[in-house]
Amino acid sequence: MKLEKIFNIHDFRLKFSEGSSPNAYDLVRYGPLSKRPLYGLSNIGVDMYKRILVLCRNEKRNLAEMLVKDFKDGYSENRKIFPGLAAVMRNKFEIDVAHFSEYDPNKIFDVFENSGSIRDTFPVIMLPRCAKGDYGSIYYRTKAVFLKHEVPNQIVTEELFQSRDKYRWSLLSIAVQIYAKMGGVPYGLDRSVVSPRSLQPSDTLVAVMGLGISTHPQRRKHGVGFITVYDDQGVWNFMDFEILSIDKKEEMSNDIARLLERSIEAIVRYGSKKNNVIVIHYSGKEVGSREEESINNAMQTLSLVGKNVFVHVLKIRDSDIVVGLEDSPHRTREGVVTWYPPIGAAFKLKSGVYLMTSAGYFMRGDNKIGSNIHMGLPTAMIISRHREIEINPLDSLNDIDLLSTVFGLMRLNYVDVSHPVSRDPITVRYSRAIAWIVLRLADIIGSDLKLQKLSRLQNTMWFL
Amino acid sequence: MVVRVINQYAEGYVATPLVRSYKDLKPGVYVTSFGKGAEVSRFVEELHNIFEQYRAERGRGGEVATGFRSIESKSISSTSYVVARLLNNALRKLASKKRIRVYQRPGENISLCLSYRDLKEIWDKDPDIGRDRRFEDFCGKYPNLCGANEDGCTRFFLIVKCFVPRFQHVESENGKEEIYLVMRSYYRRPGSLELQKIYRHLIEKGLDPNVLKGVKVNYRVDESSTLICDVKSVKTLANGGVIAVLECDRETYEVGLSDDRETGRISLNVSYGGSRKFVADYLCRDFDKHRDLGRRFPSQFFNEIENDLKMLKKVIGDDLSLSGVHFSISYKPEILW
Repeated sequence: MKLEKIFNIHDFRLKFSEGSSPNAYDLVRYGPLSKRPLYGLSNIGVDMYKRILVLCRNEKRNLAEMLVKDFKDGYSENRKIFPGLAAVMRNKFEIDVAHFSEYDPNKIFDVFENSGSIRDTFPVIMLPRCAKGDYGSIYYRTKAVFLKHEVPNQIVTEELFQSRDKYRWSLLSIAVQIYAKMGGVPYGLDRSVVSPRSLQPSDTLVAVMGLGISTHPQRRKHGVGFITVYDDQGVWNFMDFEILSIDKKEEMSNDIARLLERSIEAIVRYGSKKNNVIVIHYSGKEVGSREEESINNAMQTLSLVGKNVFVHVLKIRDSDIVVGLEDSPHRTREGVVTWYPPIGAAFKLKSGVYLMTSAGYFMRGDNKIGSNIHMGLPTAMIISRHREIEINPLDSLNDIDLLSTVFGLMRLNYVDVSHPVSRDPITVRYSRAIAWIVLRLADIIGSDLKLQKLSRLQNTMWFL
Repeated sequence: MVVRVINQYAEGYVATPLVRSYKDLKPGVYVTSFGKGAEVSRFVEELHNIFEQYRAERGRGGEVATGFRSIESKSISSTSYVVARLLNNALRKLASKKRIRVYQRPGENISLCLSYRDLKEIWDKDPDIGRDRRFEDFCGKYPNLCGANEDGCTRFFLIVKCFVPRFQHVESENGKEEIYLVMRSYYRRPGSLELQKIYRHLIEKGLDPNVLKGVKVNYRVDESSTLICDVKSVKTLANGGVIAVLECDRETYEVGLSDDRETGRISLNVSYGGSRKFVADYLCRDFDKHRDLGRRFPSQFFNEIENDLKMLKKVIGDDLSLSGVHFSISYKPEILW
């Protein structure tokens, strides 16, 4: 077992409209990358919205009004922390408040609908905090009702306002999520996630696909398979899904194969490049052995005749291995030696199996030491390359290049911009949210739910 | 299923599946003898008895026993991939033999948990095993969370230290295979928060059970589904029975609190603020105090690892052997760079 490489956040700078930087906060300085999706439909985007509407329960109106004021004018105590939505998004909106009387998703939507045109208004909904593991929570139910009407939305928890510190540092993250849900691209990477020397960029397209399968938390025979696709600079492309019968193994494999074929065809068609490299990430945490077997079967039956498609597959799961660096430069504020390792340290356990630290310290641009963990043991991931189900794997793409896709996509943290690296790549991070919201949509609309009928959702990151 | 039957019923044997080829290892079920006494050569004749026992207990299994295509003997390296998996299954068997408290989180092979009382007994007998000072200080400050005294805290909670060992197969650049022990330890608060038990506690204390109103609970509706529900009210029926009225994802359920058949189906969900406030107000004010125990840096973890490994060895004993090959655990962590 040996240290193979330490990935560095400064080698994966973030690209904005007018410059690049290792720091997501420079979104304010350089402007978001694009107001519209760089792929897919052109009838969505930040310019399509004229208004942001904060929806809250009557009793919480003072909190909503504080949020609206900070959205309009910037964070009153320090505009450097958050200069206001218009400055961040480089777009002006009317920002208003509307009230609902009870936490009923349909009634909340009615208030939203009655407030004006729903196509050019973006809702920000204030709800009480819910446990992530509660499928029946007001969070998932509200999300589903709004998305049924093809209205991407942002939920803000009421508890956020209880901590002034937490509240002020969340404002920019909320703005970034709203921007992405409107169809904009806040930032991407300023380089390909794979090393440029490995491929010929002009005739080769590289895409990274997140694949997930989840069982319905209440009805174990049902589930959903879904994919999310990013380009090789981590820019969002599209998503797709299939409702699955989890208890019918062969049918499940066929459905997953169909989903993968459809998605790969869409990537190839849009890219129009001679060679198409697809790196699939899937989460071992979310996918059980039965589902994994279905993925294996689906990969072996994919029909990709006539296409120059090269598919590599990585399984990513949490590890229980604790890594410490005795010479670590990281100290707590009180000067305690922590032994936190550098983020992005990759160790080879054996052929095709790597351990990568996802929490620890990093060097900031001012040569100071930062960390994405302040207490507790650092996390790490096991990344396994599943050669046995790869399709035409490219020799020019080695294991380090594939690990690079994981680290690169850990840099795209739209939900908490204060952390330069998330604990897992964006391809697997939202697996439960996507699965449960799609399943709730299926509960409302029925099992013939098809994303093509909700076209506005296909090209936006509604799941953040 | 074959693997599960062997690991659960076969005294002196342990098994692991290999789904696809790995180097020169073919797919199949790998079985070896475990501990003292059993011989691999006798496994074939034992197999019949194992499945008879399984069938007697479960009413099925004979068709599996006759379904083997072949059984062959094979010598493999003691550091091969399959051996790491066999060792993990052997650990589970050891734990069940020694009746060690075992709690497992998803993804864990095994989690061996000891209370402060269990640990102190071992420390007192074996001074070579360094004491966990932080845990000692914690239990000195909150004895009712560590099994002392008799109050709401002791009735519902017990803080334990869990050791989570797992064998990991690795390969070096020159193809040399090794097996490492991955070791982690943490502190847990397994709780017995069944609603029936809480109801009895409230009654004994002379409290109105409707203080449960608004609390969130997990309700296991059937084998495959558990709902998160709000307690709407607690009612006494005309026949003297007591029910909890639950609202779950907009549907209403009535569940007996005085009915033994419902035992274990409803438990408090402490992820929610309302439930946590209820626990603090009516069951155990200090129930969250153990959280600071888990806040260790790697520097502390590695300073304590030798004692944790000694404790593990004391708990599982020194008989970790497969097919007569004895496996010992080194106390020094691997330095990688």
